[in-house]
Amino acid sequence: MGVNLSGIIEAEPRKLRDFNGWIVAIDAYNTIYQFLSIIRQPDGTPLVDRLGRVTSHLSGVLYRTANLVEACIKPVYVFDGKPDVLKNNTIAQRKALKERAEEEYERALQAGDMETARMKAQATSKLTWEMVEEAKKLLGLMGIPYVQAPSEGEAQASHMTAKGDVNATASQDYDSLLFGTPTLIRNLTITGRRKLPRKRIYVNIEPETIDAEKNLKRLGITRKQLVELAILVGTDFNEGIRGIGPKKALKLIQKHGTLESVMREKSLDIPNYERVREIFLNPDVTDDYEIKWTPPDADGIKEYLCGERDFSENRVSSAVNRLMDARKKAGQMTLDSWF
Amino acid sequence: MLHAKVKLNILKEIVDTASILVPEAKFNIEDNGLMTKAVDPSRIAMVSIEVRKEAFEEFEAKESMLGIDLEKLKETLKLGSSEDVLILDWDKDANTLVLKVGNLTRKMPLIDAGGMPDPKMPELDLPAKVTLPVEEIKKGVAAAKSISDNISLKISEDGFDLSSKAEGADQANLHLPKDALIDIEIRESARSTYPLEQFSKMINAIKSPNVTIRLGTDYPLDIIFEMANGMGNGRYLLAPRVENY
Repeated sequence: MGVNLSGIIEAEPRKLRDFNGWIVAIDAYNTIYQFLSIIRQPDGTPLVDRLGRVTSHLSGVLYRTANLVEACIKPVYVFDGKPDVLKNNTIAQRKALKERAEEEYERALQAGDMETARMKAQATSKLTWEMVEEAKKLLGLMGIPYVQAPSEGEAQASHMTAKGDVNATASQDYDSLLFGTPTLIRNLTITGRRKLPRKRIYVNIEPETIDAEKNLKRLGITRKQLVELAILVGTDFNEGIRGIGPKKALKLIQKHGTLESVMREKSLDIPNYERVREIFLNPDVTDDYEIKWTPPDADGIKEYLCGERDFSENRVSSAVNRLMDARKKAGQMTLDSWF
Repeated sequence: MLHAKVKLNILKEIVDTASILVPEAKFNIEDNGLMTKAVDPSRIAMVSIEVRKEAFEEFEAKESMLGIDLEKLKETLKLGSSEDVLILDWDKDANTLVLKVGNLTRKMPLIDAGGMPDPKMPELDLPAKVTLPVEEIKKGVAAAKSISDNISLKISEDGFDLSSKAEGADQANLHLPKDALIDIEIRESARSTYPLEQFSKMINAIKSPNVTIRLGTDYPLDIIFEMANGMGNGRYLLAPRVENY
């Protein structure tokens, strides 16, 4: 879900090749969740192995990561740790939404309405603890590093970006801007042609970057004020004020300066707002991580995906070859640094 | 305008030197010769060529820019033999290059040179330099080919080293001590790794017997050589591979 900042944040369109040589901290939960929603059969069922276990997440991790590595991008997956208790509400809400989507999915399926079934199925995606462990196992075999965040993955990724260990944070959500990432990449792992639901229209999803400093400068606010604006709209840690969207919240913060002033002026009450602000401004992160890429274990990947999870031998081989070839090219600089 | 007569092998040398990096190139023609600079599409390599009018049998020109499809020109050059003299004329109105080899005439439409980039040669402060026979480097390249996609160059007080290493124990090293080199100048020793494929193409395209190599650590490689029997010169730059992956 994440915070809604649409309409006030400006992004710059990019091509995958623009990120040549970049180290990118990928918000793992967000990205794997995307894989679970998108990588499905036409009727909406996820990919499964012969035991009926979902494999969409593994498919995404293998093929989409290979695409990135092939574009000379160096990915580091950052996994969520323990969520803050303030997130419990959001988690409960998500669960309820999924349960409803599941009922609607069943109904659409029985009615033979494949379009709706697929849409509803996407909303039922559940990222389980097993899937996370399976994704980590596969990343390990692929030689792609991952970092375990103490709490929010986006906070950890933002910290690594701000420190300069990586060039950008990749996520579909805007939350990492609140966590202080200087650069956010959206649509990195989901590029390509996509059909719009209920329409016979295909759109080409291209990556985009969001420069935090540029946006804050344009809006004339600080990061703290952006966080306060988000608190008014609503975050994963607090419910926003009904009737206040990003544009209205921006105006209020620009006019009154601080969240406290806005609350005073408008007689609003936002429980735990100070804690929420702290979660974003001083998040729980760690410096105890190592980012190191190692050669892929070709046999290990095949054994796991083809042997245990019923992946096609051919497709896995070709992805593994792409990984190996890309590794050989890795570290190649361009002359652009010297012009 | 341009009207020139040139030995086929000289024109071929110019085309081959550029075409290993780019399929088309913009030639700047001046009254005293021609020059071209181009960066390859992946932006890891660059070529710069200058050939003086003395390299031509005849050369009459006024300042102009020709966008040439190198692949087409290469095919045309196959129609003659190396000692043939070619006549080149630029038909400005039709924007066509007219080549005559013996009784054969080949008209070639030019590419709009206005839209082609004019890259500047970056200035590189490289602390080490050697001059040596190309044949020696070719030996090192041949040895490296079966081992790795990379080749490392080193210039130190011990001389010049070309080496490549596989992930296992396979390794090849060509060591040329100082007295095997024509010249060596060192401010500090330098070592960098480069993509073997591009390096090998560059070395094999060079027709002059000797080359000068300028090297830094994790810096682009600068290869300087004579062209057109000493009546021109060429330079290649190649970006390094750094070992952080």
